[in-house]
Amino acid sequence: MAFLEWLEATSFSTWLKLSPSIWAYPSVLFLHTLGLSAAAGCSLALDLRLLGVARATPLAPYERFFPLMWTGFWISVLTGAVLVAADATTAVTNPFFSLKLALIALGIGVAVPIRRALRAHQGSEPVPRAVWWLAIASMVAWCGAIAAAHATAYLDPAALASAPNIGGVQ
Amino acid sequence: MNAWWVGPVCETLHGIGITVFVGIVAVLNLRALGVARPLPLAPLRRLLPWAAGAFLLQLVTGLVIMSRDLPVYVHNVAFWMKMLCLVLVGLAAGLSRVTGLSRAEEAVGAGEDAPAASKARAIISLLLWVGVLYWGRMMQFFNTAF
Repeated sequence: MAFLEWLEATSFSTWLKLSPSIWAYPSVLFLHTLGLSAAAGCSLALDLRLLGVARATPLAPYERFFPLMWTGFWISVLTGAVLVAADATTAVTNPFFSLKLALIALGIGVAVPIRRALRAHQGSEPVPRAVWWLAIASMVAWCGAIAAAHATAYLDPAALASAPNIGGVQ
Repeated sequence: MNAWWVGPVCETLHGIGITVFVGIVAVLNLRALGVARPLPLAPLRRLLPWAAGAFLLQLVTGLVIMSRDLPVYVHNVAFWMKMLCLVLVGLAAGLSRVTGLSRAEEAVGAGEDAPAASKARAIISLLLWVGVLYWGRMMQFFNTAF
């Protein structure tokens, strides 16, 4: 806890949170959104393909989207770390935040074998059952992570206990 | 409609909807620009009905979110910038249909290069959707009336 308090009190964290500049909190938050859209968005599109949408397209070329997904992922990790540092004491102790991290770990965990399956896939053979389940897990992970991210922001247990006045523009 | 959870649930669905949508748009536009060239465009466009479904989800949840706090949105510059981006997205989509560009894209087979016009369309589309994401995010920082 002392570490989290220190992190939140660093001059960088206070600048990020309190600066009226558009280059502070708003821009970091936007980059976070952009990165996760690239990572989770492309993953979800690929999951749809693995579940049978656009099944006339060959699977192997989808691997070319992975560099974009990884770039987006690392942008959201870096910006996410910065955003968490600014709100360390409330963010890290929020159980929905731990859930979000667990779901992201699941999403990344299944992305690796999915990529391997894309490489191994030949022509128009059907998607193996195991890969079908990986795609389901990936969808659950990314949609769940987005839901948990919203819950982290809106359903802060401490805030909810005192005043369940949430929703709308924050 | 006024229960406390309606806002958070709608915003969560709105967030999932835009992620699915932007993901599909990114894959299609990047293919038009030459990424993953072995993908033939006609069957790849079967992803579009799912994007349309995600868009419908965004529209419905967006209207519910808005209706709960209408004055806040009417006076929000970022909200109108987002709407402007969406109108331009619609115009671009209509234009590529009218000019036959959509049909030309249907004909782009595996390994083939998309026409220059379709690359230009893809860049504009990507930029407009980044604009939608940007102004959507900025809405919370333009909370005061102008």
